[in-house]
Amino acid sequence: MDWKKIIKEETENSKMTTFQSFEDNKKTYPYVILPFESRMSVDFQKAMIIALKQLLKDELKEATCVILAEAKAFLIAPFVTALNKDIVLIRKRDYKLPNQIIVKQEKAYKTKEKEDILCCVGLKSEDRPLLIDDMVSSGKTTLGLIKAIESCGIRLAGVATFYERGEGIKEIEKETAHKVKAVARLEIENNKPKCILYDF
Amino acid sequence: MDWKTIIKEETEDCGITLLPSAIKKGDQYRYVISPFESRISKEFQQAVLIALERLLKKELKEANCIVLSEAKSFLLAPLALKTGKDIVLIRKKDYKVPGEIVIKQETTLSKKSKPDIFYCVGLDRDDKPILLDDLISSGRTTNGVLKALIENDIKPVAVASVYERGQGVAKIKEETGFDVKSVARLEINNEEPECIIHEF
Repeated sequence: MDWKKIIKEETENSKMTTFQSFEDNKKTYPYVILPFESRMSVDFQKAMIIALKQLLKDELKEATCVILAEAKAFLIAPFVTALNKDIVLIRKRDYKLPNQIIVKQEKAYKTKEKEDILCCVGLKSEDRPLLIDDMVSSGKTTLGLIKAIESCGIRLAGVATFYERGEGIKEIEKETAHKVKAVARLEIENNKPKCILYDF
Repeated sequence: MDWKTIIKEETEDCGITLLPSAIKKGDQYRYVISPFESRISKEFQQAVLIALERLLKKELKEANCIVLSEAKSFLLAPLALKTGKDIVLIRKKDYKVPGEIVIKQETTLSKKSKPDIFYCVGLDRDDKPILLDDLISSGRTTNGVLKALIENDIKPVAVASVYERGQGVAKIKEETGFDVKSVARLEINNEEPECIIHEF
């Protein structure tokens, strides 16, 4: 299976849409509706698993579980099932439990609520988790998660994302000791998605 | 251990928390933090796959895709990979593109909680989807999704969930005629979760 070709083609076949900017409602910005938010073909699901397995070969030897944050990253679950590891969830819901991990994330855009609350109740102190996201763009969510997890004394086995765009990875690497691994970079060229696969 | 024991035991080991009621200010209600919101062990992942394949044996032959609604249901993505189906996502984000299916959750008595609106851009007219949820409790979301799909001439092959609680399954039958298939019933007895596996 040519997983690189499948990922590249399905990503570049994604529909585009236009969203209004939250800072200035006269402005708009282009947005790629990725397979993770519309439809993932069977081939794409298989390609995703092959890609992540190869990307995270070393980290997977050490990791005891994989942390996935609501919502799109939950679609990485088939990869974790294929690895035979536990899935630990981070949710946008406050369970009001004494031992939960809370991450307050500043919203990247203006809405009624000023911040998102992310909450994790499933981590154990002996875990060595791998944190995997579907997309790192500003890096704010991932950065908040890394800091919150590590402030509980839990050591991450690695940080990875399927797609990356913008400067998010640089921001995370500047502020933490982690190298963030990614399968592909997403760009928008002439109002069309462009998917650049990394060599690994 | 067999899949029934794993599902029953891991569900009954779940914690219960008190969350503020959206219906009456100051009221609280008891909430089971299921594996789908905390930690899904590798054994539980496999047990759910076996259960769902068995529950939907007939329907999986006919269906070409599995529809999952944001957010916890996304964690059932491994069933699509295992059975060779596309994954179609229903999200809480309006992509504002032609052909998008808009889904209104049914309203409640509550004045405080506005019904959620969901959006789906990945479904085609000729799809034969299975609608799959982690939990059906009030049935409001599932009813909304079913009505929107039927309005768009898409008839689901089956509607299924891992857990059901409350009157949701009966409400869906009453309002849409669909028989919901589910793996287990969730109850709260003496402040402890009880998991009753259905016969199938």
